[in-house]
Amino acid sequence: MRNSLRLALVGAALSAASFGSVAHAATSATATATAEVLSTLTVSADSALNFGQIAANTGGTVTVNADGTVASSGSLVSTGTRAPAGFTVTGTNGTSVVVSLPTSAATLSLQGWAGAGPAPSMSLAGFNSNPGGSFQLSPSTGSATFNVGGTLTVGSGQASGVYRGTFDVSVEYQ
Amino acid sequence: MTFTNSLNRLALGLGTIVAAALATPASAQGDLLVAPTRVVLNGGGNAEVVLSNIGSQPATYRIGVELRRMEADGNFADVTEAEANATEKAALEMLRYAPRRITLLPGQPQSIRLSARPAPELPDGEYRVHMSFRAVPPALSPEAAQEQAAAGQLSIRLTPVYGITIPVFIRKGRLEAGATIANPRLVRTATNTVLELDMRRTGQRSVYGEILGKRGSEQVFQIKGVAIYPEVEGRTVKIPLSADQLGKLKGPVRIEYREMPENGGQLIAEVTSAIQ
Repeated sequence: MRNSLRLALVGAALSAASFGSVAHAATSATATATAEVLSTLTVSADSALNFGQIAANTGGTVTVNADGTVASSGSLVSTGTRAPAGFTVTGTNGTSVVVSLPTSAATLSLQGWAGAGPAPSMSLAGFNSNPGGSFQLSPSTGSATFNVGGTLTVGSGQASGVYRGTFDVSVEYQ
Repeated sequence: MTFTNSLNRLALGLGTIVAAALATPASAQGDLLVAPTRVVLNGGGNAEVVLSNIGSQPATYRIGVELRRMEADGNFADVTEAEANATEKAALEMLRYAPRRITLLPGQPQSIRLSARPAPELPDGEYRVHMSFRAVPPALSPEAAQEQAAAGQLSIRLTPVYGITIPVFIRKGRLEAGATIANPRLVRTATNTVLELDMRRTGQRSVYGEILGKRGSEQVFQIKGVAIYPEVEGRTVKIPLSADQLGKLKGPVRIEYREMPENGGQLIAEVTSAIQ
């Protein structure tokens, strides 16, 4: 994956390459060619944010933090593998990048709802990343990984089924 | 740059292609590459940004513009259109770009064209938007949803809509900027030691460059791509240090803030200080 992106990187760099002559201070006549190598940034998802299995009971919250710690509150039963989402960023060696997460809650809606009224939903909030905010890509490889977690709020007697939702994660250059 | 250097670079590029061809791609849907990673349009003009699908499946991407404000710690805060100030609104209005939605096969790149024309009546200054490139998550088929629901438990399908945001700067007029570095200090946490710097900015535009730390003639640390945007007068920069780097930072250390090498590498600010 990290290699296939490099292929694209080179392709992009070559397609945008500008060939021109540059004034040369030396007295000898020297043919000069320049190819601009564009800096690139890539993001790939390595693993999903996983809240494991939940039995709602009278509700509560399940927290999966970016640093891998998990917690739950209320009377719900939370079992199984719980893990934060993982991403890999690759760019120029030693460059500082910033991860931006939503500040408002994401809504997860029950799929295939045929009942009256709006589909039951749950909310996901308290997004956090590890490392948090800005961090540096590896000086040697130009890569870094980061994790994203959050807190899911489950209602009392939350209808069973598949809940789907999305949340935005951005990696930004300065 | 000499011809030999260019040839070396080209050879390096070809080497990378060979390495890439041997690797097995194993990536998620929506993985993406963007180049270049910042765009500066002096007095307006046109530019192209390449978006490439580096995943193993076809994916649809949405291209948009967003507003961000830098904060004192160097992180970004989201700004909604309703919260935008006059400068930010002007930036949104002057930028044109297309296409805004593209579907790409694995390995396929496409250029997004952008152009900006600052209106003559706009005051001189730096106008900035952040261009976002995000994969649109695929819809779950009804059959798959049925199957998953049959389990009778709460099942959660969270799809991160992940992407890249790059700054696009439109500069109008002759803009000057400078910076200073002050108060280098070590901050020790339970897990690591971080060098913190206070950086101040002056002038009408952002500054951008790399921070280099030198002990005598030896370069001990380097952090590239550090910007101070015009909406903040200054920011802190945190540089994590290894034990090895820390050991080398005894006595006076010279810290430089320079333009990126591709922009000439000119010195913007420096400080020489013992760090503790």
